Amino acid sequence: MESRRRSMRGLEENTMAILDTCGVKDSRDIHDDRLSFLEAVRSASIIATDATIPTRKMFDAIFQIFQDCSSLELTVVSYQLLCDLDKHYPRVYFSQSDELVVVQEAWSPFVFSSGNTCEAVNSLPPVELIDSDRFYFLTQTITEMDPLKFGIKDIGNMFLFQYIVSVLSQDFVPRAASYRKSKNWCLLRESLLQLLLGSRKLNFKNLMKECMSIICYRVYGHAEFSADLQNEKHASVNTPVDCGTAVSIAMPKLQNEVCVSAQRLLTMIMELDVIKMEADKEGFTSRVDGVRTPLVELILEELMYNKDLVCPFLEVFSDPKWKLKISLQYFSKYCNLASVRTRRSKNIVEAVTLENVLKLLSNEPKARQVVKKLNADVAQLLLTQAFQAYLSLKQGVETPSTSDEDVRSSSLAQICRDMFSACKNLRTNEKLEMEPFAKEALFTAAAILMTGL
Amino acid sequence: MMDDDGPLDFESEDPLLQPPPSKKRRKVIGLDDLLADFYKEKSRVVEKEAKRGKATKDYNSDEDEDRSRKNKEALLSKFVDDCQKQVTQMTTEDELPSWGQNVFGHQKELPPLSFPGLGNCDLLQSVVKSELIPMLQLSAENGETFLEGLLMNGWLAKVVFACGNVEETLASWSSNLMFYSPHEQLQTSACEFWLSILQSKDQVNVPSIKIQWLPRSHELKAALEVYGYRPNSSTIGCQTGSPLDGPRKNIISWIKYLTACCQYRHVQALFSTAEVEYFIGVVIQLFLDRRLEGLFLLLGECLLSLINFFTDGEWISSCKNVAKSLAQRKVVDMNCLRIVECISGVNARSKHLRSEVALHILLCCLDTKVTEPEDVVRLLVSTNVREKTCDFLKIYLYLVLAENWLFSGSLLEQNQVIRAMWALFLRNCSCQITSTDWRSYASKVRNKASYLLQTTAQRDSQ
Repeated sequence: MESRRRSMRGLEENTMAILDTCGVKDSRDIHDDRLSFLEAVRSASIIATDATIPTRKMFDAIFQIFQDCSSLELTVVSYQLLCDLDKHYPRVYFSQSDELVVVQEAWSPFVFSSGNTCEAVNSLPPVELIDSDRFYFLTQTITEMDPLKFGIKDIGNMFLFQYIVSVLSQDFVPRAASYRKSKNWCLLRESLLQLLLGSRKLNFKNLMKECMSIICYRVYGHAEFSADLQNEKHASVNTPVDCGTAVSIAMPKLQNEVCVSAQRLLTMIMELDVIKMEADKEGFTSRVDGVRTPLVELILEELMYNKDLVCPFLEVFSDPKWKLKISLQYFSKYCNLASVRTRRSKNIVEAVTLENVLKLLSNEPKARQVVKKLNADVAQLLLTQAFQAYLSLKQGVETPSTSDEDVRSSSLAQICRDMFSACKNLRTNEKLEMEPFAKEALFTAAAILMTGL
Repeated sequence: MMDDDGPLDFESEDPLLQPPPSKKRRKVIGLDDLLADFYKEKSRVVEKEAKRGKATKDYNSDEDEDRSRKNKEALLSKFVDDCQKQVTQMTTEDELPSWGQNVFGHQKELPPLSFPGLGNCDLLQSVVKSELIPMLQLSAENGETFLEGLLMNGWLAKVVFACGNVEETLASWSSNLMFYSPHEQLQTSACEFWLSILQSKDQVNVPSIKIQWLPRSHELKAALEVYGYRPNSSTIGCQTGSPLDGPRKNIISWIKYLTACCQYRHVQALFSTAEVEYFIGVVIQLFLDRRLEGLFLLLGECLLSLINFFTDGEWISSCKNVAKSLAQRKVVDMNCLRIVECISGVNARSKHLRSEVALHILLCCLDTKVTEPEDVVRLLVSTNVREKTCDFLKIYLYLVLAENWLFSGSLLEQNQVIRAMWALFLRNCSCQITSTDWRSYASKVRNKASYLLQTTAQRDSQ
């Protein structure tokens, strides 16, 4: 053990020495040294037959290089290295005997206690680990990005956001899975996600609003960006510093991925909310766990307050389980669905099913009432989005395990048939042509009915 | 922590990062100095000759004088040229070469994207005929627009999953959009459509969709050609300027589709092993294009998926084939290292490929016929780093390539002789190059070698 520790220290010293900037060096040398450092870590910690996990100091240095964003090359190489290291040395995982293992001393990009400052490594600025403040700022920076002036800095921020969400998720998913078996709330109390959201400094509502704008932004961002791409096409690519073309080629994909990450974050938080509510009821939680408005409520509130957001948000938000829940609960706020009780009386939130909503909307007078309160377009949009999410769950393409009982027990053919009458009732003026999204949904319903289910 | 309240500013420049004023590493002798020296020397010679000429020859025809003047002029201009060459060589040596290769040249013309017969496809026709939706008026003309809507909003996948099959018209229409459409959302939706089809399976891992036709290696290669792919260009940064230069954005969908195709093997092999070997070569080439730098992770994933395509039996020989064909570039430059380093080494096969590729490129750089590992290391040891003409860039390449070859495999542990000779080579590089050696790459070689020497020593002591 002692010899191993000594050899680790030796490895650390040697590897860190690569970043040493003694002697006359220009920026190109610094760039090359950083790359060699990253390569050396990969070689020692991933490729070598006796690979060992990098020390904290080395992790800090990689993270610093990643955040420093001095070139696109360094950013992508350090990002990939961090991801590969996370895969190689998970912080939370299931052992072979199916027990949850939490590596307490593992490095993570988060810092939740103050006074944990790290010294600067050689040429690098001091390491800035992520706390709730910085995370909030990061989401803000991303939503405020100017699509006409994308640069390396933006790319770096987007990679950083993705990395943070990926670390949160690698920590949360096994803990949540373990909770379902053991009902041990402590596992989640100590999860990075709960620690991040539990910070008193954090304005949870604002953070969630930023995340929602990241999701909606994808729709708005597209058109502006394509124009920009044409301008940047002429940029030369000869030097590593000039990377206009590289940025513009990677940008749409990155925007997409950031949007997916934001969705992942929201779904994780909603899952956490469900678990927390259950733990609350069982009396496992305490005052330390804090109080937080469930995210679903926040999202609904935001979408009801600003109806223009309904379309871009639901169009992009793709997790079928939560998309279905959000759109159905939106309906339930406007329709009188109080009579509908779930079979499982344990649930606090009444489960509204697509069947119930369709039944209600198939009744013309009741549908009229809904249209009066909610505008017809929004109602149609919600219905079609709910239908799409329902199909995803039913067809089991995306997440076969999450389809819940309501979806499984319903009849696909009946739902398709009800879609026709509901859509018809939702139109205020029958002479008007249907919205394209409603047409597309009905087309799908028709095609499904024709397969003769 | 720096400034707690300030926004995240990654661009703010750290004073430490400011490049120090670039110092020339040697005294550059300017062209003017050389010329002045030359003229001084020459004029002395000319004077001397003129004197001698006067003494021995009394006659001087105009013709002779003319010829000798022309000779001198030619001599002079040749000398000036040489000087100029020397000077430019000195300045370019100071600029260290970097990796990079424009793998894409001029884009070819796009194949036609509109499908006149699309409105008559079975899917549209059968729904229209059913009259389930009376207000759905679809003609042959607006059929395509309607299908585009279905595709972009994710309905087409749902329909196809319900029907359980993809008809050929729709397949070729959507694959064309994926590879060639300049419309951002259309091409990404078409790509997602195809990925969901390829990844579809029911509980017992049987694909839930019958695919009548799907793009295979022929279509993938054709698309590459349209994008302007030219595998054998060795130009680093040839002039760009034409808007038609460079990869199309569709390359992202192309890479994603290729990745998914390889994972489809559990159902049906869509490629032959030779085709996958070819695509591995292509993907590694794509790593060399600076314009695709932002796609580093996507390319990495694709490479992993490609190497997982093979069965264990096929892998050994395919890995060698890939390495050999990559080594055929026969250019000794920084791209050699990039090729090796883009192979991430996260699993056994990836390590194997990295080791094999490094070996074959090393052999190519050494320009040797030997293949026995011991002989290769012996050849390395025989290079004399103390020689004045020693090309340190080459030594650096040897060093890194050999490191990757040896460390990614298990040769070092198994073979004592190789280990001893490798250590000797490292010692030569780290001790025999003086720290005052100003030649480019001399210090890089020395540092790299001493790093490797120390880590190897540590491993041995464990």
